Amino acid sequence: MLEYIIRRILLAIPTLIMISIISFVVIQLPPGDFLTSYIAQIRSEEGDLAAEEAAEGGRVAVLRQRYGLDQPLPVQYWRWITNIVLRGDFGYSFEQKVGVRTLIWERLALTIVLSGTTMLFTWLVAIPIGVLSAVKQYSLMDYFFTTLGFLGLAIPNFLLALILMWVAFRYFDTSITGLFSSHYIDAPWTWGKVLDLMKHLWLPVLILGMSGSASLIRTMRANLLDELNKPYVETARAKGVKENTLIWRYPVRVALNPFVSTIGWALPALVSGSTIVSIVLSLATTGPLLLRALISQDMFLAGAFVLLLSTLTVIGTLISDILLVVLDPRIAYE
Amino acid sequence: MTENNNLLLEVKDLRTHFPLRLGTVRAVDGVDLNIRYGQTVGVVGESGCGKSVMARSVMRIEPTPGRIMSGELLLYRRTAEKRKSDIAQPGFTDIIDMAQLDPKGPEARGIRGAEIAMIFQEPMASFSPVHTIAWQIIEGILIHQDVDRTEARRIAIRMLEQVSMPHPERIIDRYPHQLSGGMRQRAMIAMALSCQPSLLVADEPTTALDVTTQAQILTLMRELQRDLGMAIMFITHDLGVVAKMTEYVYVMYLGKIVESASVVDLFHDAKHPYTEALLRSIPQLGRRTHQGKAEPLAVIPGGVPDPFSIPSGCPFHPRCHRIVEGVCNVREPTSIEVGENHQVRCVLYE
Ligand SMILES: Nc1ncnc2c1ncn2[C@@H]1O[C@H](COP(=O)(O)OP(=O)(O)OP(=O)(O)O)[C@@H](O)[C@H]1O
Ligand SMILES: [Mg+2]
Repeated sequence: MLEYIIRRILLAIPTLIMISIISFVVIQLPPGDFLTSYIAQIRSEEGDLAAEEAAEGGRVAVLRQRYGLDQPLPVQYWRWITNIVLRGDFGYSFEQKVGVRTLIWERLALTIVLSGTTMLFTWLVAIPIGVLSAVKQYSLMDYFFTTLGFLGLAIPNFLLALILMWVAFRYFDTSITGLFSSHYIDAPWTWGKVLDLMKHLWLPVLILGMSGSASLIRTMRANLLDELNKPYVETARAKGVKENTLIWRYPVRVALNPFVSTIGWALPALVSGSTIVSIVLSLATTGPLLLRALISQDMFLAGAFVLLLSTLTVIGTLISDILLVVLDPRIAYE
Repeated sequence: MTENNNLLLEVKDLRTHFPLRLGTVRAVDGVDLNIRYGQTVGVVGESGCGKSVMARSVMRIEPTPGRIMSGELLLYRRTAEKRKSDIAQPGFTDIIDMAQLDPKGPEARGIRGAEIAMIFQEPMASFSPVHTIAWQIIEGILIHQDVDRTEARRIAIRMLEQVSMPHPERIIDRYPHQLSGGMRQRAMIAMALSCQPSLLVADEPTTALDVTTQAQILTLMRELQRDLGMAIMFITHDLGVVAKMTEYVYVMYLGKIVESASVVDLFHDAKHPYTEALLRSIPQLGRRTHQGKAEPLAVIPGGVPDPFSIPSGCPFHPRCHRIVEGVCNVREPTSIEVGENHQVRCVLYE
């Protein structure tokens, strides 16, 4: 078992290297780079002369040299990745004119908190409901949650966000956007700020978790219905195990296994899926900033996000693979 | 009548029906059956005749949407000491009608696994794939016996030894998929017997096994029956197994018992045309015609009717070669005593 885990971790390393290369190449793919658009911007604002000058020496040249933008791609990549790995330096955001490092961590942390909470919420809500719907198949409750589930699947997240925003604004005269109250936004982290985050978090969690819960309820119900008729359930019943204990101990346990393997990609899917909602609700997560960085070809900022989110995916997959082996003895780890 | 002494289970006019959208399936429709302490009783019949539903009804684990519509399931209970000490003494303490119990309630659960245990056809699918053998055997012991985990584990290992499991201390911590089919069925038997039940319900326990393993498991079950003295309800469609394993046989057809007799009577003096047909369909070495050729195997004509449209009168009449027109297709025959402990449900004997 331990050997399997170590081997999986070692296998993740080449994957991560591949991912870093791909991230870098993807960022470089669009023609031109930030500096070309930067020069174009100076030209339109300050005239040709200033642009010439900026391109020759001065501001742009300094940046170009510092980040080796005139070097061949492999050299640029090498410089970029060694800076990240050795010094934690993700480069410079040309647009925001600060180090990428200062921009990403808080957003990344908030994103992880938001996505993690949403996943937890989804599981806590969907699994009991899914189990009940399966055990009491075709009951009133089953129909109720089936209807609710289809509604949840059919309404796009951002639309729900807009509706709730409007309702809050129209009837309660409050704004429900953001993850913090205004006076906490730039404040340092204190307990007060954490509490404030909790107060704001539930709404985006609800909105983001809705469709996920709806589909998880459907899947859980279907999986469990399959398992409920398996002979091992009958065996447990024949042993005299209590019905409730039996359902959670055997078929639910078996029906849950496939979900463990979804953690790996559920998290990144949630991160990218939350972008539109984050924009609508102006949440300071990675989504909106990544989108802007991609549009303005702010390469180091975009690169940092792509790299970190992909790394999270790899780690998530690794965790779910290991969890799966721990939970399901049938999966051989030779 | 000695058979009323020592009575363990008395099934009276049991009816278990499935109300389905297309109509009602009368899977068990008026079964009478007795099992005495320590007796091995066989239940035979073609696929779909209701054997499994009957067995599950006895355990009160009838599959949904099945429901016991009427009938009695009288369990003559002895206290644990009396069960062990003297089987010959008719010392039961109380009679409980299992049919009246809430299948999920504490009384029914207290009987299941303790006084009546069951083993199933598919030893692989009948174990949870994600729990060890130890876990699954110990669970049952902890439910019914007042012992701690270490003691329960000791009991489990002892049971595995009793079913001749090789290296029980090691095997017990394996998962079901790591065992062979025969070993799984041994583990299943060990699990069922871990609380010394008075009755073991065995629903085709060897059908899914290869012939060699099948013989081993049957031998094992006979030895266990001799050593532990529990009664067995042995469900099968294999008359060879019936001959080897049982003392008394119930022949079932479409939810009803059509004939019941001791094994000897059944094989030498079968009365019901359905039983005769079943007997003719067993391949037999040495049964040859005058020309020395193997006698062709008789096949019962037709198939088991659609469960939604069971024929009127005697349910077997459309396939019967001794049909009495105007009687069999009109009137349902009653059960007739044709010999000592030999009942048949056929108009020919009325
Ligand atoms: N869960 C269920 N829902 C609906 N009908 C059922 C269910 N289980 C059994 N039946 C019906 O009850 C009848 C008897 O089935 P049963 O499984 O008892 O047959 P069997 O004698 O055990 O056959 P086999 O030898 O194939 O095991 C069949 O007609 C079957 O269709
Ligand atoms: Mg069956």
